[in-house]
Amino acid sequence: MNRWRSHLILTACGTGAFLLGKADWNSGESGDSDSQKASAATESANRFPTDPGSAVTWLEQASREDCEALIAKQGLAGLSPLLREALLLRLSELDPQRLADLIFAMPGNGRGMASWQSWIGWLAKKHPEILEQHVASLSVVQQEAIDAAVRLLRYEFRGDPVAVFEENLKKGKGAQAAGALTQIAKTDPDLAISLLSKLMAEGLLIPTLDASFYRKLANINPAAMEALLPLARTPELKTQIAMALARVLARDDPSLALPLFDSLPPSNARSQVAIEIATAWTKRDPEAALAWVQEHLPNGAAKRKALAITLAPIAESDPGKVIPLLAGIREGETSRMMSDQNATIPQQVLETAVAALMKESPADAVAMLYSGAPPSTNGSGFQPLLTKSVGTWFASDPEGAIHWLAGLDQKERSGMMSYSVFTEQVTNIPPELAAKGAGLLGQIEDPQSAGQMATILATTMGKSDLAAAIKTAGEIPEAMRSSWIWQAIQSHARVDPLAAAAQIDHLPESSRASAHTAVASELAKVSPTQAFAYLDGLEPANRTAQGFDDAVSQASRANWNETYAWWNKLPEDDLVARSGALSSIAGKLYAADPTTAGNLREQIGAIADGETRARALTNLIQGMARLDPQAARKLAAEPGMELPKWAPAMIKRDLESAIPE
Amino acid sequence: MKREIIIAAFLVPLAFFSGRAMRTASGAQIEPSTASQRAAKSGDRPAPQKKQRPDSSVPHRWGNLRRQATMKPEALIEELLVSGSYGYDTNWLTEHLLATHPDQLFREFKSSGQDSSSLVRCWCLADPTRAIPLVLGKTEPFSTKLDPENYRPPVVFDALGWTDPALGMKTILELPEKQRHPVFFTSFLSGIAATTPSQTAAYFQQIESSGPLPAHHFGEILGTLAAVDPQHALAWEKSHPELRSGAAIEGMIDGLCKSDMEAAMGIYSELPDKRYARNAASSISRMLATKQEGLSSALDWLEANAAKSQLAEHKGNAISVWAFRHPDKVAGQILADPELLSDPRASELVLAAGRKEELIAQIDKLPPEAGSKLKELLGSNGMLPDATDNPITPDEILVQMRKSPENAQAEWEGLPEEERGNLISKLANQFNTSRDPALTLKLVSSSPSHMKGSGVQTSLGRLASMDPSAAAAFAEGIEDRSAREAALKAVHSRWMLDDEDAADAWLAETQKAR
Repeated sequence: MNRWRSHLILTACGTGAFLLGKADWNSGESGDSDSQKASAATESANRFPTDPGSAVTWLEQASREDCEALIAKQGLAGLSPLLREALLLRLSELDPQRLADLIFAMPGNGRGMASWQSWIGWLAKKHPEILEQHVASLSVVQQEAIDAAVRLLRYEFRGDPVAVFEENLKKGKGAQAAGALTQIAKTDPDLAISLLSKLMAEGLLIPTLDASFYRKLANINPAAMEALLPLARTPELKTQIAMALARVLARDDPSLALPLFDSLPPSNARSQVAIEIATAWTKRDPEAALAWVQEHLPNGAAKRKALAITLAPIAESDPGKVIPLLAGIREGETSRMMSDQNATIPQQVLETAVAALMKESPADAVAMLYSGAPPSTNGSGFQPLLTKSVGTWFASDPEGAIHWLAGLDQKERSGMMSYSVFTEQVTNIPPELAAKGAGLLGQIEDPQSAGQMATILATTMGKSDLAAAIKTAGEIPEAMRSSWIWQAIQSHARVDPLAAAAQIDHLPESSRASAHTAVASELAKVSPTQAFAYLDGLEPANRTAQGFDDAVSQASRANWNETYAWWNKLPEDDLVARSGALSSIAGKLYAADPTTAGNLREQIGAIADGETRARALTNLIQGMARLDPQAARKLAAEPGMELPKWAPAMIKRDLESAIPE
Repeated sequence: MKREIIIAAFLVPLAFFSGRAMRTASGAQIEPSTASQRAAKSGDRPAPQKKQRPDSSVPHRWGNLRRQATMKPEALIEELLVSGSYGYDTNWLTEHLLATHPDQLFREFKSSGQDSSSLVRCWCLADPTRAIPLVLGKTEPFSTKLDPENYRPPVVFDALGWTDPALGMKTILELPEKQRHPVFFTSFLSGIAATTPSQTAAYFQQIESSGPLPAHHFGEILGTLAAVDPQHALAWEKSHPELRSGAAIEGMIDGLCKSDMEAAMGIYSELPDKRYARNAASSISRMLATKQEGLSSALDWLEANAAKSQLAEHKGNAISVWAFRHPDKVAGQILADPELLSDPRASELVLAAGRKEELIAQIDKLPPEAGSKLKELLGSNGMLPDATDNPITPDEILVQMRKSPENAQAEWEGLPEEERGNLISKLANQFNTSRDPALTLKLVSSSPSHMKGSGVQTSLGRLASMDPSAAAAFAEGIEDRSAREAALKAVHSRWMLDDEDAADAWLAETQKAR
């Protein structure tokens, strides 16, 4: 027998034995072929339990084939999220590649699953090659989402949390040890409690952790957590533990948390426990909760918060009870209370109650708010809700509101009427009501407040009914009359400039130019040409540089091409129009044609009025600074014209801010 | 032949076993598989076998899933409320309850004052066709009020972008204009770009022609298009020359960085005033810095292109982005460019690296000044191995004081005057909620000149929130008049939150006594 022959025999024997070995394994252990195995798995999947508890146990022991049979039968989308997660968990043990394939085959490559980020993080950590293989074929947007998920989880925690905890405890590093604890609590809260007690007993500094961490621990073992309270050396830690305990204890029966409240000294922790008790109790018996809060809590923001929680359910139905108890809320007080977890915002409860009572009896609502927290007269006591309510009251009953306002201290009244929450309400009332209010202006004795009120009412009336407003002018005290008409015309000009212009003759001559300016400005927003024609048609006394300044400024924003064309056709000797235009658009004129710089400078130097001249030069320098900073600096240093004293400093400031970096 | 038979006698059993071994090695699944087959046959599944310590990074534990599988919906909701809805271990529970008991879940969240945004977002992603009509409708408890001021409201359309763009577009366009938050478009287009990038341009056009959008949102939409279809985005930009600055062009640059960096840089270079292109400069430099060798190019680009007033901020961000992406390259980069250590954010380099030995080894390799700077950075971050090399920190003093007051006191007194002064200054001027306020105040009060520090008032406020009497007594005992007045105010204002009457009475009494 030659060498090759003997090799052949050996090879044949070896192969046969190898195959026999495989066959023996198959028949000896399972007695089935691959297809039989698959059919057994299908059979098994057909008996997939319907109750979730057994289904999870089934999955925990499922084979790769069982999993496949189940997927073939129901699909991943056919499983509830609980069972889907169990299936994925099983695949993470059996076949990570299949797990990744399944996830990436889902809509949005699995991003619709709430656990997507966790699974992506796991793949990145344990099987980066599988993840990379999938990521390579995705859109850049999807790659970015995956990258963000991976980075977030990578920095959430590195290493074995128990080992990390022990190491940092030894080194005295509280923050790092606490970080490990939050990780441990996710899967073994009992262990987390005993390690937390160790951390606190060692006196290590513990940072503020998520409230849900303490709630989770308190839920598992309230007694053990209560025993930790005396070890807490910071108000934040004490409060977090106490709150978590109170929430867990009060959940089933609020009275179970009362001993905890009683055991604590007056403190933020005790206040927060009371808030938790009030929250739980209100769900069962709001009246008993209210009585308990009123009796046991000292006055303060914490009490108002607890009261708001108990009163929230009746804010609309019994506002008369709610407002006096909450009117004393100070702005921002709730946000100063540490660890505030309850979403009820006292200010909102109060606002709901006030809105409800305003419908029934605004006078009562306003009186209750005022007596709960009167506005201080030193300017720091703006009470937005009170002010807004008076405005709302005015809108339905101007007589009542004016009468109430007339009874206030002058500073209180004047302060209230100067806030937009008041004026916005009043400027939206119908003109008839505004006219009614105008008739009552005489009730307000001090001229400043009466003038403020007249301005608001004239704006309101002028906006919708200018003729009526002018008629009403005859019925108000004479001292306010001309200002009333001017306000009404200006207000109407925003709606219909030419109709407003028709009433300007009602004004004394000295006020007409500024009214024409207002009209021209409004016209310019729609049609620059019409605005300039309007100004040109005025008598010389009313055709002012200020009028052109305002109108050109609006026109250049609305339609630059039209404005620029007008400028280019402007007669050389029309100095009124030129000076007004230059003070608002010299910079833009330069930008449109930088070769005109010298000419613009000359024209500006020729403006007679010093203030207008300075404004025009500043405007030119600003425009120049954006395109040619060097030239702008040179012009600012040597303007070659006389300027008011204040001008150089302003020019310098505006120049520097306009130069791009 | 005899020899062959003898060899075969050895090899055949060997091959037989290797056949088994190979089968075994290729299938770690053997045991569960056979176990399940046996169980399937008998109809009785064996109890789970004791397993090794679980992989701590896997999202679930069998024990938890088994327990949760048998819990009633009320108990599951309670568990979710207790644990919070943000933990990675409970996210799936939100989705599960939304699938099985959405009504009950929303009701419980709302009645317990919890923010239901996380529910809304999760539902819109998991089951958009069911969730979106409900959360945007008027049916309680699902109705979700959208604050137009909220830049990222919880209702999102990504999922319709993934699964059914035509339906998504129709749904958004059919909403009343008041209800159509711009983020619906941004999330929708981002969903399309994620799964079918080739359709992005067509939907971008539909969105654009549906009416104007706030600049920031439009910028985001344009950025999404630029990220997946740069040619189309660039063509769009060319036909809109009026957009040479502002949020829209910055959004576009942000997207282009991901697909065509050269084009992104080109557009940036044409922006008229770089002070108003902060986001664009940030996008470009961050994207450059994400690459392994990208730090130098990011810093060079910033030097040449960013607004001078924003340079330090951008450089710091680029250093941070790069270091946390490539922690294992930090030591080498420091050696190559020791100047990095002078950046105000150099601390982040050592924090990101965390490879202490390698970093420590660089100290001696660097020029002396840079070496001592690195040593200082490592020391101040507690990363030098020998504790004596690290200056003691205020927190360490507090821990020692609590653990072993006598030893710590002796050690404290043994510190050089200057070091004690530094520590007190830090305690008096810093705010840290993990510090024991009583102990902090005790240490600071050993140096009356530090009693005016801002940290003193914060510590007093914190002490007042835990033990108002102790805080009051401490404040009263401060000798310096202005420091005492500030302290009295700090105690009073905090005490007021818990008990106005007691706080007012104490303050009145104290002022009367003086």
